[in-house]
Amino acid sequence: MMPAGAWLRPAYYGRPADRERLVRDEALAVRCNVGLIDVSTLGKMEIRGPDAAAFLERMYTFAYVKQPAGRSRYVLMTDETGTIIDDGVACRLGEHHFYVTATTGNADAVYREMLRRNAMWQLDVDITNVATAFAAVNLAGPLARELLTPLCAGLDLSKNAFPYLAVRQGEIAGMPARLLRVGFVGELGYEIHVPSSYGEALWDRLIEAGRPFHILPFGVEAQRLLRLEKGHIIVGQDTDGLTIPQEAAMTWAIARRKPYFVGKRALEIQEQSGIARTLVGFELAPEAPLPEECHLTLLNGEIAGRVTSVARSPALGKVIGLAYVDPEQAKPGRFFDIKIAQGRIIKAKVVTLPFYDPDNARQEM
Amino acid sequence: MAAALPVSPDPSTCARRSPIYRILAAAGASFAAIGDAAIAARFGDSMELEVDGARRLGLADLSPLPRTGFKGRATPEFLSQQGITIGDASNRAYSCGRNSRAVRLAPTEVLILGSRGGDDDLCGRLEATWPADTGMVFPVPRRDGTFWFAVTGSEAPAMFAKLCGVDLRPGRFDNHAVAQTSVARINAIVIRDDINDVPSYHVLGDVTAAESMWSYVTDAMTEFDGWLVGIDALSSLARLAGET
Repeated sequence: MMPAGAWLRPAYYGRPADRERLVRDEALAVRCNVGLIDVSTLGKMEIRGPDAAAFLERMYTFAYVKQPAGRSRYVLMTDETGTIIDDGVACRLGEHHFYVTATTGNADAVYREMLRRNAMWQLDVDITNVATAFAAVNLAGPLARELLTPLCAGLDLSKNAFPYLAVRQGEIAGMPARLLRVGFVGELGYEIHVPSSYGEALWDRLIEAGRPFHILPFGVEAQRLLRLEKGHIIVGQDTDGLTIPQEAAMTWAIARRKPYFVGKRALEIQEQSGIARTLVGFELAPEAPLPEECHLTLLNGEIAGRVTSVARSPALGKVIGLAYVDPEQAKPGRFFDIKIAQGRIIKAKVVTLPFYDPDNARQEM
Repeated sequence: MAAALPVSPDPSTCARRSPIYRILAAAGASFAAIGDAAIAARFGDSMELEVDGARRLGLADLSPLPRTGFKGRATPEFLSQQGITIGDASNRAYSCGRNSRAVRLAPTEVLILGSRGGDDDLCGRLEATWPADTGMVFPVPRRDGTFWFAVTGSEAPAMFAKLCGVDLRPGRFDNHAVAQTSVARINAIVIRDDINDVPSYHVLGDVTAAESMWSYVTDAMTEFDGWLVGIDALSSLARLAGET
């Protein structure tokens, strides 16, 4: 187990002595068959009322007014200075009803901030914290649909009927459920939310139904590796207390034409003054030593940034990572220096993200 | 000669599970089916001893029982339309249905507790009829977001004095009074709801704190020779006391 915010979460399943092999096997199960991870620790909020969409428009950088019911959309939250403070997904369940997730570590802070903001804005919206009222798992892998279909009477899970980023409500093995087609780990996947008293039974049923598909439960370490292969950031790991969306290559998540969101003014000012660092994907030669997170990146011998995520990818057969570098080092194909243990310098090559499945064909299958 | 006990369902095979069902099973609970869940019905073979324990100091897990909640500015009106009358005062519990309670937590927020016997469908009926399209009443999933324990008996106020800053003695904390407070440093809602002459308190808190709360209360109970009790003992106590 490993700490994650206020929780302990499974890092991997098995003996610590076998950690490296277990994480690799769990990751390969997701890439080749199917895996199951408990994500119940995510923050979860019901945003309901006539001003629900307007409220999200103010709280998050993206656009939600025209989001159709039955679809999910990424949410990115910045503070007044434009600093990234959280992310998640907003599912529109009805005209005036959104179900919003937040990161495990920031769940309470996001809920508190929502209440604080709306005490000022006085929008006609109700904010209910349902973080512990719903349990959630992510069933991911190329066999996920085949596994799930017999359990979902009345729900059409086909690609056309339930496409990527869609949200459906129905029953799984007789349990009321919300299903989100999301792709954090880059494979066909379903995030399944059920009332928490059903959570354990859901896990049991999925593991039981998954045996013919060689399902493996996977932990946070495999999940972090898999999302790294897809180039997805983790707020708090690949961002820090000063990171703005422009530095983390997250400008695609900013709806610039909105009149307001928290942090908009600050981001506009920072955009005019330019950025001092940028997050890039990098890879190392196969024989290179493995850097650690927070090892420094250099430009002409001076500190330019730091490694934020790094791992040896079993799917790609090489070391991959994310790091902040000087913007002039960010062009794909360029090399930059990483200062590792004992002061050794190694060369890393900037590559285009994502590392894995660049066309997103696997998660959208 | 004691009556034969019905076959106890295995809570680990039920779709709905109490957050502490493993602890209850390890403590020797026999379970009874209630909907798609199993609830601890009794501990041991002697109902007389268990009822006596509940009279002195008992702790029961009611988490599998129905409960729900509503919030929003039209909540009192909605409940009134459903035949549930609540008073103006917040932090009070009001009787409704068959031994159910409507607990007013705030002017626009109400917690509904189904009966301790699990023998009415008030919560299900309310959840099925709430006006989803008005944007003025919103359900709160209390059955999944909170644990629900009952602490009963004459020694309960003294036991609570070790865990809670609120004076819960009968002379200081009226029947049907509500405290939104902390118990053993865990946020909790405490509702006094006597079973006739037996002081009785509902304790609800975040479901993730259920195991902790259970262990803190059982630890605090040892000084007073407290008992784990099932809903059969509570039902028996209510019958003996004349409740329906």
